[in-house]
Amino acid sequence: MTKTASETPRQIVSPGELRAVAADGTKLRYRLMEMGSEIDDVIALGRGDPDLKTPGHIVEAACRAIEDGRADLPAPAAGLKDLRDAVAHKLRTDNGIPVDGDGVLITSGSQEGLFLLIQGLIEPGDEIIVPDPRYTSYDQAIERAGGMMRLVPTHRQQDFDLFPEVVEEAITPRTRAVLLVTPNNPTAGIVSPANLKKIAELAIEHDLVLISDEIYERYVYPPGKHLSVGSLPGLFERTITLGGVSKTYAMTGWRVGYVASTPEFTDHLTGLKRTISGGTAAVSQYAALEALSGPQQCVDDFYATYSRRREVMMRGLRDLGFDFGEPLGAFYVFTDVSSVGLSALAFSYLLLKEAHVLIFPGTAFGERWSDWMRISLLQPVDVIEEGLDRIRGVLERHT
Amino acid sequence: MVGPALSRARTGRMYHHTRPLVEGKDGVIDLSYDDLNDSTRESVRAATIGRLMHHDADHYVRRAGLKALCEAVAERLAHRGMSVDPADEVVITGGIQETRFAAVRELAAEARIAVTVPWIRDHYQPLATAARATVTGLDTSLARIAPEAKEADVLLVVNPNPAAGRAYEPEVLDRLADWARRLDLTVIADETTAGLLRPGLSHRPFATFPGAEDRTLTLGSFAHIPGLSAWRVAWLAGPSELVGRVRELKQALTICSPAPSQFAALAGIADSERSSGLHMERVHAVVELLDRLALPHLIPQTVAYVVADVSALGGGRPVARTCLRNGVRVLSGNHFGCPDQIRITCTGPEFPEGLSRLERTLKEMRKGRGSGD
Repeated sequence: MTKTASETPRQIVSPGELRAVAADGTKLRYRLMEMGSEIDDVIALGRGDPDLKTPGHIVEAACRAIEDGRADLPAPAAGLKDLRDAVAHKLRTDNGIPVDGDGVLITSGSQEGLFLLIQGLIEPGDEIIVPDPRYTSYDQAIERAGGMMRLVPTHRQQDFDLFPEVVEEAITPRTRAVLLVTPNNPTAGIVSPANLKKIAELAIEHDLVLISDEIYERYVYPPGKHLSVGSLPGLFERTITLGGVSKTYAMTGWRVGYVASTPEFTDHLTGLKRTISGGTAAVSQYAALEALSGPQQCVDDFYATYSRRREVMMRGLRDLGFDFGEPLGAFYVFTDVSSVGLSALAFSYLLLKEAHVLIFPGTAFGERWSDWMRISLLQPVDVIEEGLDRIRGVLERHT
Repeated sequence: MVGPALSRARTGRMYHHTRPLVEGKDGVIDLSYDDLNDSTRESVRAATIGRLMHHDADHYVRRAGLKALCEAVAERLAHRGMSVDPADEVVITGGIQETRFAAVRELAAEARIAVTVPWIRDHYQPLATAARATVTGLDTSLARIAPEAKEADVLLVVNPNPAAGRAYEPEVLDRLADWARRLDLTVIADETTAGLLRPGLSHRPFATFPGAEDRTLTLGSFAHIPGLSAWRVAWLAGPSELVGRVRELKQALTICSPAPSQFAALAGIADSERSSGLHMERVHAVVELLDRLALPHLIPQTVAYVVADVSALGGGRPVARTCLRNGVRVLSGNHFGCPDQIRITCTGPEFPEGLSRLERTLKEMRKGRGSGD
């Protein structure tokens, strides 16, 4: 079934409108989403926005804050004290990270946290080691701070785990930090505890900062295990942990994230936040407070839902002949589609136009991933099955 | 090992705003706000709660902002003679500060900025530092082009003036637009307090002056809707080329603005009721107090401020500090180039108690001065 590049039937599709933005992963994702939004019966397996509803008790808590006037009082730039304390409590008890409320900054989504911490951490010319493929918003944050990305590869054969050897090879005198994204977007891989500990040793040896993006931490599937690097002995002082409520509680619209680190660095970031945006919307913070301190059964329910979908998706992709690394976390499958004989960009365009299935090509997550696609699990099982059927139909027509 | 890496985070080039004096101080009543820090209207609350309970705000919304809110902003601008396409010439932001940051960071990167209100340079300085830009004050009174404008890449027009509450005369804005056109300057028009002008005063966007439309990014807010400060929602509008650049930064920063806040703004903007009557009552209460204490005062053009000359009490800074010690915050005139003055914002649910504390403070200071303390 595999075809060489010269045999690739590119005349089938004319994705010129995508090529114009294909060099920029973020623009490519937005353009595809725009195109998808214009199709009535589109099956969206692209974006990372949970289709589930924000749990009712969280919404009701926000409504109470509106009714009693708390939502009218501007929150401090660092965030509501109760929420900072709740985040710290969660990180201490669930993750083992020795942080107090004064080491937590509340942000308007974890993406703002990422932007702030990069701005606050690096000087122009500093390098950050970034696993590839990657969520390209990292690129934007690093570029705007004048920093340089040093990409290190992860591989399907290793389920996209990050290995200390490749990290060590990438360290230079300008290296300032290592970015850890576990579970990972887009690969759904995790950094195994064994590798994480060795990377932590490298950070100590070379005096590097570890940026640990753990936004998908609650969705890890056996045999995967989540370990927060900031919980390791002596690592808290050099670790910035990034998280939020968006993915765990289906709250992407509320825009609440957090950054946890030392009180001194948090104070530094708070100054930046005061300049860049001021305090995060109070109403959203009260919702996040309920999410973290209220009943957690909803997370278990979400987990069960994503687990079922994951099984269906993996089985369906195998039936289609696609190869992928074991998705050990998050809610994605990163799959090799080279067997189709089209570039992933062309294939994603074809799927959208002919089958009304929206899937992001791997090039939305790094230049060299032209044979890969990220498929999300954020649709009900019957819709996922319908999406797989539509993909099968396209493959039967064109290969 | 060199040392804990995080402690090496350098702050020299950083662009911190000064920590607000009131932040984290329990029990202090803040009468220094730039906007209507009042309770959200019942209609806005009810509409927003309705949206939340329908789960309309659970997920990411359109990156540039809710379509209906962008359209509502465009419609308001159209009433003031400014035409923008809500599809790609309006972006809803996460509050006024984010609006200013995004505009300066993207349109004035490494540029020379000439700002129309010289004292406001300090306020914009952290934003300029973030953009690796420089800021100079501009003399707007000159008939010929001011030297600072000739040196500039970006003209920052702040109108109305958010601290002192004054709006420029149309002749001045016309002159500035002419300078911008002749010098081919990009213009950032900070009009975030335009909605606070007193009844009877009208605001004309800078972008509507000849030659300004294609080069001006307008920064606006929902400041006229009481209670929305804490909801962190504002907007920017202008030519698609300028808006597009800023929208990219906005997306990189927060993806989209909080959906609950956008629904609140949408509910508020549709409600034409204004609360200026209440604020004017409060303004008159402050004026009466100042008259009793024989302190000269000025009622600015924006709805909720009173500016008092407190030179007889030692000047703006000592009075503001003493007020803070007594549990009420007012803005020292040092923040807006008038060190002999303080600004009192007549908003907020705790205004009556704040006014009592202010009265007590000013009387004590007056008495202290009178007795030679």
